[in-house]
Amino acid sequence: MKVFNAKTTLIVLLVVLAGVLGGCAPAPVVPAWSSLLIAGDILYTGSQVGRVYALNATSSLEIWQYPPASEKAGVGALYAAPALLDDTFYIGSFDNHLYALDANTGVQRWKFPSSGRIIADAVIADGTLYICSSDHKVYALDATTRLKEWEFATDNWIWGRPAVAEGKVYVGSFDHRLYCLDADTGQLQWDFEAGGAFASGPAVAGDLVYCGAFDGKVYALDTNSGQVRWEFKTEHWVWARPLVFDDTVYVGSLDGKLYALDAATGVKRWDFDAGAMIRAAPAFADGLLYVGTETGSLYALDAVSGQQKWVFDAGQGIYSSPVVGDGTVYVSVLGDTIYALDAETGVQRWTVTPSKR
Amino acid sequence: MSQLWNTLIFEPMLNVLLFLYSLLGQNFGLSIIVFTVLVRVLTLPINLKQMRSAKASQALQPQLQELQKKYKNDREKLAEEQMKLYREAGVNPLGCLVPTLIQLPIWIGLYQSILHALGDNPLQLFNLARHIYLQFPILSSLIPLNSRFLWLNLGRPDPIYVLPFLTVATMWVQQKMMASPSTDPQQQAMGQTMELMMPMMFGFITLQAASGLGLYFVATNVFGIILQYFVSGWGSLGTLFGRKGGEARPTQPKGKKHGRK
Repeated sequence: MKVFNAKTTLIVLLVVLAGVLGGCAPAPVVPAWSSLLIAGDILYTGSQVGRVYALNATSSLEIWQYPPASEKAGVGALYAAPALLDDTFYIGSFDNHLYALDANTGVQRWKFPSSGRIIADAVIADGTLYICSSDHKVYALDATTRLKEWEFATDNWIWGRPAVAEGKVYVGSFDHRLYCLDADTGQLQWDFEAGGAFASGPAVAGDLVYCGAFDGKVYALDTNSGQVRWEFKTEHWVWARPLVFDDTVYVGSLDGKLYALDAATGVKRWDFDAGAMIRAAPAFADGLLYVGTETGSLYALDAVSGQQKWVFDAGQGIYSSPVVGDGTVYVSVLGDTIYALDAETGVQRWTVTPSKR
Repeated sequence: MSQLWNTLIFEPMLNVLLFLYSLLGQNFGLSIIVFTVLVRVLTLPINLKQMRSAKASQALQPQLQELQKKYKNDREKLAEEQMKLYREAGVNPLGCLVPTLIQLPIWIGLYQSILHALGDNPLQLFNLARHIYLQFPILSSLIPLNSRFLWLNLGRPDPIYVLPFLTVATMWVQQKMMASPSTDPQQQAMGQTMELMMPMMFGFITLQAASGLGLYFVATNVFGIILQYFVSGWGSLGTLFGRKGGEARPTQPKGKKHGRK
């Protein structure tokens, strides 16, 4: 065997390596999970190709898309769930902007620039639009005049939707802190530091604010002081926003379980082992909880007992919360395919991938 | 197969990097450099063996030249005699492949680790959650990592192309130091092509890939240059600057045994 054969082999290996590593370079389309909003008979969704779609919730037919089909490129990937106020539709994008669209036609009314990717859902309360960004800031805008009322900077990304209640805004940040701000002025009321990042937004009920963190814990904090009332430890990161209904907190964990906790004490009532990571908050309707997993299973559970009613296998990861409207549960899976299922039985009514129509 | 890869290569590398990050003042660039040194120290016996084997093969050049003259019309016999010569001298002609083969999974695993560790979009972070060691809560508390190092965002390519340049330069120096003089024009041409091609290819990879990988390439090349210097001196690089190969090292005090063999 000649020496240059070894060298030739080496060159071939390096070419393969260049291909492997070169091929790993960031793709132009950022893979993203999209979220849903149901309003009346219209289902709104973002997409990883940066387009917003309004669909007829019964037939799945497209009503409009933004940017219009005549424009080849979309805006940045859309992780956030849309928000609606009157006839204006708001959605944040990976291209750092929040877009305000005409909810009936999809025509852009205005857009708000931040200095970072917008992954969090926008929230509207008392005429104010709250926008959280990866530029570490939360912005409060007058929803009518678009004028900025205030902004507040944390020390890291904000990916979770803020919660607004009783004149206070609660924001979780990747800097491990949950902030309570005055809704009118943006002044800090208190903050709480956990052992891990807050990637999801909090939920407020009564005098407690609930939030999960990457230290695997669910925290219940006093809304007035930020003092910990109770905490509950799961076996993995908590990335799902808690859902509070009656006196129970429902929260999913990346440990694959959905937990039902006593809202006042944090004592576990039941848990359901879905066998795969749960990233998003469950949806609740008519006594049933709907929760999706990263392996593409959508479970319907009895909210009182945690007993499984049905399961639907979508085949692709479910990373965003399902929504329920008029006896139908809608869920979006990775790749932007949407399934509409009978909420009672889990039987599929329709499926569509708006970006591939 | 992918599970095996994750368990044996990717996850240990990722979590060692995270441990180093927590120990080194949450500086991911330093973590990559220290990680490189650890890898090079662990693979030192193999590298030393390869370097010594390369040095021994240099000594065989006159005999190889003789064989080429003798069997210039019988390539099969030539190959057979060459192999015999290598065997008798205890030299493995494929020796240069072993360190590279060992480093291949390290490069790929490291690249995966950097992309996962420095993920700044939700899906990348979600993928990190699948591979982080939960039995060490400190690792989860480090998320998200600080990806800044000097002028670099280690999860993205170098915007001012300094790292690709350094990768090409350090690799070229290392190649020159390692190059064994050949009397066979074909081998000589091949060697010269390799000396240029390899640095260019790695420069091309560094140009496109996360700069954390480029940092690893530069750090590992610098380590390799130092190691090579102590094994064989400046090699062919010395002749470029008017010195005989292997003579560049400072003079050792008389009577003291050299570390070089």
